Amino acid sequence: MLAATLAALLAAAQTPAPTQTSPPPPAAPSPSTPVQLPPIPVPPAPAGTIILDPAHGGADRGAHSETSDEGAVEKDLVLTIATAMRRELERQGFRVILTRQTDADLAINDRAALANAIGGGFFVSLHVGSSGAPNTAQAYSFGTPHGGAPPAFLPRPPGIEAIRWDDAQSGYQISSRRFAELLQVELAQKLPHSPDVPKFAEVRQLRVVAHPAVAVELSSVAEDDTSALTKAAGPLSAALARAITVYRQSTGGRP
Amino acid sequence: MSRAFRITLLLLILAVLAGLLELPALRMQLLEFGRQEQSEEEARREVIRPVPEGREVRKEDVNIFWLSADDPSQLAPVKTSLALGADPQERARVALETLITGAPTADQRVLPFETSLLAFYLMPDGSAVADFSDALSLQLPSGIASEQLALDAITQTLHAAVPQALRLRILIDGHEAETLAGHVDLSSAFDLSQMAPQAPGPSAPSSASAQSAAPASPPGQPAKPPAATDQTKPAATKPPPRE
Repeated sequence: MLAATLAALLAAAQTPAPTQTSPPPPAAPSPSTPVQLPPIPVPPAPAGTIILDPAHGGADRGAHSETSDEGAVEKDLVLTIATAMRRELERQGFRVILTRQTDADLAINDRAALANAIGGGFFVSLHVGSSGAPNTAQAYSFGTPHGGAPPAFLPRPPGIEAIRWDDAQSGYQISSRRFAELLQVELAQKLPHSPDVPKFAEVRQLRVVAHPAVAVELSSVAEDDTSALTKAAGPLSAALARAITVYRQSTGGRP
Repeated sequence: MSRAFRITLLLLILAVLAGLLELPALRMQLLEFGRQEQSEEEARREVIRPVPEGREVRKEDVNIFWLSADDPSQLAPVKTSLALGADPQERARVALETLITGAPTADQRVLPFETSLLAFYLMPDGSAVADFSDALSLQLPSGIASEQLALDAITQTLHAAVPQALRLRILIDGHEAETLAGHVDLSSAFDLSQMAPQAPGPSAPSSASAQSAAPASPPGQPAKPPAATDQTKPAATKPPPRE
């Protein structure tokens, strides 16, 4: 009798009673069970996501004054403008990503890789040209000046989902053109004497981006006083914000 | 004073006198040589330019696309009388070299004057390759607008002179380049087949003269109606949009 009681007590001690308060320990993941990672928090961007690309950088100075080595250079101007635009656009509720925040010489494809890893954004490549009417801005979307795509946009074979890197923009030509048209209308209002309509240009940076994408070129480094260009960040931000808002209203929020 | 010494002294005096008499002529020759001195680039162009064959090549009018004299943000075709010949490669070479060096004014140049066309090939299927020296990349003002104008000038001038060329691939110093000068894509061939045919222009009074025509449509704009044959009216403009 005593032996039976001792055996029962030992068995009870080795087998803890289940409780309602402590959850069962998690089972070790088996090789066939995918690991559940916690979701990465993404900051809300109700107004939209903008990828701002200050062109050039590092040894690639871009456009510069023909008359003086001390004059302004494109790579510095666009970084200053893009940084100011980021502050302004974030204040308005946009999520803004810069392709470079320092004087780094990034390859065109590296900038595109960064942009293409982000879903649902608008890509804007910022430039300052060597000529043109002072303090004006011209928007470009990718295409030949005659409005067509270059022949290197190859048709995708049936059943092939992947697209060539060089054809990344092929699916976005219409949306990029729409984006450029809306932006140019705003630029013409906010930077007087800017053209009313965008142009097509075969800009390499736009070709490899899988977003509605435009390049904006301000004029120009040839001016004696380029401080007005850096002050263009305000009008540029306002034009961009307005163009994206109107675009998203027309597409139900989609880029 | 020995006789031999006197003879030597006399000869030296004669030599000095002869030298003094020759000096002005030498000076004139040096000045003339300085005037004729060519730049390295000009000399190279002369070396690579093939010697014309015996028979004379008939001159014809062709549109060369330089910057508009009225609006440097656009191209304007200028009817130019050139000895293009019949060989497509030779026609392309003459037209493109004229585009580089023959602008009516320096302000109308769209390609850097230092650029050389190193080679031009045209394959039977219409594929063309134009190999330019690196001055095209290095000396061209950086910017989307200036690079696109340079590219348009090349493709439209080539199309006007050699309509058989259907595609153009541009090389820089014999190598493929990602961009022209940092912006415009050079990684693939440009389609020339959709460009509107160039209307024949009126005869120019001389090979050295050229009449500036009305500005072409700016990039991205609808093209104007095709060419007028009156020299005082707009010449052939940019091709119409294509989708």
